Amino acid sequence: MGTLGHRAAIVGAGHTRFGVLDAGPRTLLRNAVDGAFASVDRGAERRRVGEAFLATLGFGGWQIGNASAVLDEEAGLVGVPTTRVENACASGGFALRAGVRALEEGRTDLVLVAGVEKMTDLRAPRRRYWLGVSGDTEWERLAGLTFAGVYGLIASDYVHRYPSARDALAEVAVKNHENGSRNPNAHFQKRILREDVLRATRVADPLGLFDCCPVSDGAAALLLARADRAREFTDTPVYIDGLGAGSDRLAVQERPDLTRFTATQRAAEEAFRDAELARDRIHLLEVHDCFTIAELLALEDLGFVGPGGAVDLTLSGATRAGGRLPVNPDGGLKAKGHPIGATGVSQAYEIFLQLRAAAGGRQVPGAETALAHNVGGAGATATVTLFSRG
Amino acid sequence: MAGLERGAVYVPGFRRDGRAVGGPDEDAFTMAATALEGLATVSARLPPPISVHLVGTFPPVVEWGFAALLGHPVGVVPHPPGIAGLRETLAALSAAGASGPALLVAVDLPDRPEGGPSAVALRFGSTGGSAGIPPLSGQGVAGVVRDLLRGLPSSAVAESTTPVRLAPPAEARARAWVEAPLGGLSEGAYVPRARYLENLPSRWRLEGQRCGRCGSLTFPARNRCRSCGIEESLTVETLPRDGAWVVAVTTIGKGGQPTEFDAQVDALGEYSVVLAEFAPGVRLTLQVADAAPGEIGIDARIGTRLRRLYPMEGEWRYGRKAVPLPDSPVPSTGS
Repeated sequence: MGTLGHRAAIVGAGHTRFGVLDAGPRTLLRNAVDGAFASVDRGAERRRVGEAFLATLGFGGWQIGNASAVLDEEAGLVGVPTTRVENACASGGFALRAGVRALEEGRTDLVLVAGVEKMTDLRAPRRRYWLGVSGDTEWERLAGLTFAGVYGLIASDYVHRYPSARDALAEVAVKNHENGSRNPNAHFQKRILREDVLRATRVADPLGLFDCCPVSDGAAALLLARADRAREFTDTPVYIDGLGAGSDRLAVQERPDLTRFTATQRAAEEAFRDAELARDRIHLLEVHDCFTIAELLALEDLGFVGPGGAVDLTLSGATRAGGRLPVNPDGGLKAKGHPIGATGVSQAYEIFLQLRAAAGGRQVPGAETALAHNVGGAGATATVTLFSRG
Repeated sequence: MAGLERGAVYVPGFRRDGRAVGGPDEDAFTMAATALEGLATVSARLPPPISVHLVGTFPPVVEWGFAALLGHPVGVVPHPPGIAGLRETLAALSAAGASGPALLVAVDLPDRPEGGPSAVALRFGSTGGSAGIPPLSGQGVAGVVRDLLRGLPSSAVAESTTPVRLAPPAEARARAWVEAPLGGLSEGAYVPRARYLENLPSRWRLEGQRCGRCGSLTFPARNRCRSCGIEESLTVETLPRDGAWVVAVTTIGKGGQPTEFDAQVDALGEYSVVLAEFAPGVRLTLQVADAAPGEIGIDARIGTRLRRLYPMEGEWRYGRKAVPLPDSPVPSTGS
């Protein structure tokens, strides 16, 4: 299977603006999918797509079930077997994984993976629907927690252990907003200052408003081809070389250590083993920074630093755009936005641009390898995917 | 005649007209529950009472709530509030003395003195070793209750209090929360009544399950060992109500709460939530009561008390909240 150890290849990718948008989910999906097809250098006929996967958490009441059919209509793929993948915020990562598996099974040689969320068309109280439907409902929600609260608990433990972490959390927000300012698709394209983060309205102590990703609309789409067929579509495919995934207990109260996401750890081990790649060979990371604390945990759980090491790494500037290990050059969930189902797909879209040297003003020079890390809930599910430009 | 065996009183932390009253998340049921739990502290083994006699005005939850709280079926016998109800109860207990142990729970004693209890639980037994029902010369409900308690050795009386250190919340706003229609809506996920009831052994009584094979304690109980996965030889083990340690704490800003808590936040403001460790690896997420946001920090010791959580599906949902313990160390940082 594959070519030179590659599992599959991305041959096209599309992306809508993320933010508070007028467009509904149908339009968002159509635009992202059209963008993906238009980006294929030698073109790809829609009838070659043999299977599709849709990542979405839900539509807040609009089309809760059978959303796959909506994707097929908007993508011009009515009739194609399509599966909706839902692992909360990690839906996109798991849909990508499913797409690669479908290619490896030989069922088809071209797969569409799309992710979408339409989150802002709900009236104000219901907009908070999104914040607490994928955590532990029976215990943590009944104590008065949404996701911000759960991550607030995690952050309190982390800051208690590493007191300078509060500064590192602020640095994550400042950095990702700066990166977002160079991404025309980002929800937030304004830089912020450290003081803005530290003085912001409390959401879930120690996390303030600028420690939290926004509630966004948006969609992203990928066309995946069998690795040995990739060059039929483009001379510059981006290969998927390593797949990893894991899971953990739903409730963080049932985990021995709040500051470790074992699902991420497991996914990272699997992905690096799968790709036979060392961590020091990775040129850029797209990590799941739904809250600033999550980026610090990710750097540690992915194995780039040890426990507590993310504080110094972040404060050193290494994770900035010009640093030795750029993290979230597109602004991350924090600034680019977090339309739940689209996020994992969007991470791969960014990597598709970066590894083809097509990321414009936010290009990481010489990027040849990349990692995407997608987390569901507060670490209950996670994927890690490794990419190279072949 | 039934013999009086043990007593427990609960003095809540708010004062109205000089008398102790419950806070906004307390009602007759939660205060009775707190007093009843005091009975257990003066007796390691509390054999099932066959009946619970109630004096006072209780919410509908008592029809099944005392059984869920005690962990075994009970007959609930309501009596009128006031001295008439109390005398009727004592007469009933005397008449039914041979039929087994019983509890008397009185709440909101109308004529209690300043600082006197709002809830009293008394246990009556039908067998030897009891103190009998002492002469009752006191005036009114509070006087009779005092006489009853005086008939017991001090080692058989437990007292629990809520520290008086909070200004009463703005009455009108707090009342708006307490007296709101019990419709209840959740914008998003919520816990249906059946799942709420299913979890009461763990939620109210703090029951976990000890595995007979690997020895690990699973909490909340799920009828399966979370370490080795077996479903047999699990024995119920109750976590201590008081003394858990805070391992993480957050204060939820306005708007950061699930919608079930909107009315509470409107009435009472921000709240803190702690993750508390009861034993190695046994943790529970609890909202904080009886303390200002941020007052309880990491490493503090907390107690747990049954309180109102929020209204849902036409009724109040109850669960445990974390309360500060008197000897809890002052946190080094406000976190």
